[in-house]
Amino acid sequence: MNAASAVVGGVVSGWIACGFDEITLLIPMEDAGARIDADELDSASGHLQLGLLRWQDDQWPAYRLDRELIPVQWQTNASTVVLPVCSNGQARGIVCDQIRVFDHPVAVSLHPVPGCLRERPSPVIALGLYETLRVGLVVRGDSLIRHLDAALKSMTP
Amino acid sequence: MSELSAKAWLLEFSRNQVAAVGLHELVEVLSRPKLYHVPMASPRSHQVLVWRDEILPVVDFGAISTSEPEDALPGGVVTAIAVYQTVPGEPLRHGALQLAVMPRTLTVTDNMACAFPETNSSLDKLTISCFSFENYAVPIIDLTRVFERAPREL
Repeated sequence: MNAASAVVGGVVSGWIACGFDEITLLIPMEDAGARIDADELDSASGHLQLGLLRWQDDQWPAYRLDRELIPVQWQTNASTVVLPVCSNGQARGIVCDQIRVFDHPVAVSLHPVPGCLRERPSPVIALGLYETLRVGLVVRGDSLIRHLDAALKSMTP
Repeated sequence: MSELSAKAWLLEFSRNQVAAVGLHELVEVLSRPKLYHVPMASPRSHQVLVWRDEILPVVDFGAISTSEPEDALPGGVVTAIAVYQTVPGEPLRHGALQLAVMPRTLTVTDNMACAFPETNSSLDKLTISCFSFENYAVPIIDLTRVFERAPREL
């Protein structure tokens, strides 16, 4: 198991960089599906859901997140892209401004989250350095899905 | 008997919030480096920067003390790279401190020692000792606590 695999707790064959609101999530390829355009989403009626994506014969909600990784209201447009994030037979769509693929595990070097930044429980398991100077937030599909479910539950009146 | 003295850096986080570290504890000053936000962190430390292939935490004590506009200092913010060691013999670690002005050196002598002020400042639990300088009680801060512990743990 290489260093990246040890940090994320499984084999990593590459990374998806998903950018929105001036942050970048770095997600192992194993936890992400192929990007889709917003106009491919089916309509949705759930709280803050921007549409439903089809994944493994089921439909799953897509959300836009703010820089605190909380779902927010958002108006999709023609250039909106959605990244399916999946784990244990579940998926959620993350509405992004940009999606990039790094199809090699060492394209991202992993660094621990410094102690002074660990104020609250977070789905961010590490920080990733890529393209020499850029920093992304490393998340796994299961922790991100759990975080989204908890955030939405806390917003429900 | 001669008095013991040591060189230190005076760090100004905002107009009413200063601290000091040893001369060997600052290694570089950067002007407006690119900062990256980290979610679900505290107001004083929610950013990182890239420095010499490392990702360093950025701590901004001014972020919590400058709620009053008169506390803000004129001029650009500078970022000081600090070095510390969690345990003797372990590799050195680095972190970054946001400052309101360029740090300046001063000489601290034994007779400048003073009691901790009862300010309820965010620096209270990070302070090793304190000295008096230009009408300020200047805390000497422990960089390991600054960078290794979340504010809620202090």
